[in-house]
Amino acid sequence: MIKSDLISSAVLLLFSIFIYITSFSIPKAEYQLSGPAFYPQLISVLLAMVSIIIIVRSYIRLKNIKDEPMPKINNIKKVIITMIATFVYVLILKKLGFVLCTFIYLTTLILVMQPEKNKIIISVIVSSVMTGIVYFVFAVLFSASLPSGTLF
Amino acid sequence: MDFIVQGLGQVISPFNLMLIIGGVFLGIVVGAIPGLTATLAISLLVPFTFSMEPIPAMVMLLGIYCGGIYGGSITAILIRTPGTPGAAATILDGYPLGQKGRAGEAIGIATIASGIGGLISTVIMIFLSPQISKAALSFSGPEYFSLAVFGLTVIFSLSKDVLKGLATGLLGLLFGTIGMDLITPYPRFTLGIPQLLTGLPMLPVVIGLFAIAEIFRMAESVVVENDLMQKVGKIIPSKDTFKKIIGTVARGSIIGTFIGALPGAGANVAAFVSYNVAKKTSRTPEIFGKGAVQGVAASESSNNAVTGGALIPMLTLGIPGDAVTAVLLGALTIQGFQPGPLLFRDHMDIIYPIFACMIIANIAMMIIGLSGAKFVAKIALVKKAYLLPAIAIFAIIGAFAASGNIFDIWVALGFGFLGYILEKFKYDVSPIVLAVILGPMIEKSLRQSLIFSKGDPTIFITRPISLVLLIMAVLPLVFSLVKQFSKQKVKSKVN
Repeated sequence: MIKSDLISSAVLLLFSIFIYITSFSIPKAEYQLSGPAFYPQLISVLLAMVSIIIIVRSYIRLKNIKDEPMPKINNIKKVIITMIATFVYVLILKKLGFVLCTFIYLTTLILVMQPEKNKIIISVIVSSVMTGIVYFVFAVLFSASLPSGTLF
Repeated sequence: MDFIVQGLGQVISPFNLMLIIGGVFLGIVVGAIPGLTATLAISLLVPFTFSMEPIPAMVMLLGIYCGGIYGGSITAILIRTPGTPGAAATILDGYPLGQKGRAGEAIGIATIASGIGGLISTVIMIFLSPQISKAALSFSGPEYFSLAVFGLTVIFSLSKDVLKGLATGLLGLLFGTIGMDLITPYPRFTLGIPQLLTGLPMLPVVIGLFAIAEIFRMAESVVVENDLMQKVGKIIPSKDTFKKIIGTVARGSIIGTFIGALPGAGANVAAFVSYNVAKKTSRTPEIFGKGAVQGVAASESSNNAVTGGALIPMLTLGIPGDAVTAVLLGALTIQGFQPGPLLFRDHMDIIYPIFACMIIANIAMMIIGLSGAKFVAKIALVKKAYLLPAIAIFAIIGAFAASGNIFDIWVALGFGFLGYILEKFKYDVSPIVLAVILGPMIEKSLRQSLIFSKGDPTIFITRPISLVLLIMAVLPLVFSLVKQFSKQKVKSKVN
C-alpha cells in the first residue's frame, strides 16, 4: 500500500491547495480571523501538512521495504456494471417514473449478481416482487414521497 | 425514579411498542448479515422518520441500534463470520462451542449477556447523564471548540493509521464548510449549485459513505456464498451455566459502558478489552478460545453495553462517540432537538422516552433472541444476489426521501463512490461523517471565541476547562503518532 499512499496523499495535497486558492474568492469580512475564508484556509493548510507528512513517510518506507501491490478490485466487471446501472437509474428516474425504472434496475442487478447463469425468469419474478414491496412500504406505510415520472 | 415511570408511560402505546420490537428485530437481522451494520440500517431508515413524531421515530431507531449490535453474535457463532465488527471477539469461544454441538447454548448466553449488558449500561446512562449535562451548562465558545476537537482527535487516534484518519477527518471538515457561511452572508464552495447553499445534505452523505459504498464492495465478493451453518439446538442455557457467567457479565457491562462513553472507541474495542479482562482474571484461562461460556459472555455483555455508554456524550454534550451515534444525533436534530446540555434543561420530554425505550428495547432483544435466533439465522444467510439490489434501492430512496430532491441522490452517489475509493486506498471513512456533523460546531465556536478575544488565540488555553480538554485532545494523537513511528523504525530495522 505504499505507492498507493503516495498517490492518494498527492491527490489530497492538490485538493487542499485548490481549496486554499479558491477560498480567496470568498468575500472578506472586517476581521480577517472571523471572516468566512479564515476557517477553510486553516483546515486546508492542516490537510496539506498531513498529506505532505504521508508523502514523506511513504517515501522513507519505499526506500526500506519492497513495495506491496496497488489496491485491487475483484470482479471489476460486476462493480462497474453496478456503478453504471445505478448512475443510469438515477438519470432516467425522473423521466420514466419510479415503478418502471426500479423494476428494470433491480432485474439488471440481480441478473449481474447471480452466480448461476440463465436465470432470467427468477430474476424477473424476484425483482417484480421487490418493486411491489418497496412501493408498498414506502408509498403506503411510510407515506414517503417517491420520485414520480411522466410515464407512471 | 418517577421520571422513568413517566417516560415509560409516554413510550408504552401499542404503536410505539410495535415500533421498538420491529426496530429490534430489523436491527438483529441486519446485524446478523455479515457486512451490514447498525450504522447502515439506521442511516437508511432515518430519512423515513421525517414524517413521524419525535418519540416513535427515536424509539424505532434506538431499537435498531440495540438489536444491530447484538445480531452480529448470531452469525459469529453459527458461521464464524462476525455480523458486525463488534462480534469479532465472540467468535473466539462462540464458534468452538458450536463445534461441540452447543451452538444454541452459545447463542442463548450471547443473548442474555447482551441484554443484561444493555440494561446495565442504560441504568448507568440514566444516572450519569443529567450530572454531566449540568456540569456542561457552564460551557461557552472556547469549551465547545475544545470539546469538539477532542471528540474528533480521539477518532483519529483510534484509526488504524492515525495520519490517514487525520486526513479524512480534515477532508470531512472541508466538506462541512460548503454552503452559506455561518456568521456572514456569503456562500462558500457551492459551485453555483443552489441546493448547496444550505450545506451538504447530511443524510445523503452518510447513506453514500455507508450504504452505497457497501453495495460496490458487495459486488466484488458476491460469488462467495457461506453455508457452513452449524446446527442450533437448545438455546436457553442451564442454571449452572448462568451462575458461571453472571460475574463476567456484570464486569463486561461496566467495562463496555465506560469504553462506549469514550469518543471513538466502539463495540469491537469494548468486546476485546472485556474478553481479555475475563481471561486474565479467570481461574481457568486455558479454556478460553476452546469454547468457554465466559468468553462469549464477556464479549457480548461488553459490546452491547456500549449502546448506553455511547449515548451519554451524544445526548449530554452533543458530541457523538462513533458513526452510529453521529447518525442518531442527526436524527434528533432533524426532529428539532439539539443534543447538548440544553436538551436536559429544556427537553426532558424526549430524554425520558429515550431512557425508557432503551430499557424496553433490551428486554425485547432478549425475548426475540431467545425465541427467534434460528429464524434470524436463516434470513441472515439470504443470497447476496438479492440482498445487494435491495440495499441499493433502499439507499437511493432514502437519499431521495429526506428532501424529495433528485440532487440528493447524486450527492449520495458521489459520496458512495468517494467512500469506495477511500476504502480501497485504506482510508477510514467514519472520521468524514463525524467531521461533517461536528464541523459547523467547531467552526462556529472557534470564530465566536476569536471574535470575543479580538483575535487572541490564547483564549483556548487560558480558560481551565478548555485547556484540559485540548490537552486531552492532543495527547492521544501524539501518543499514537509516536507509537506508529517507533513501530515503523523497528520494522525497517528488521527488514
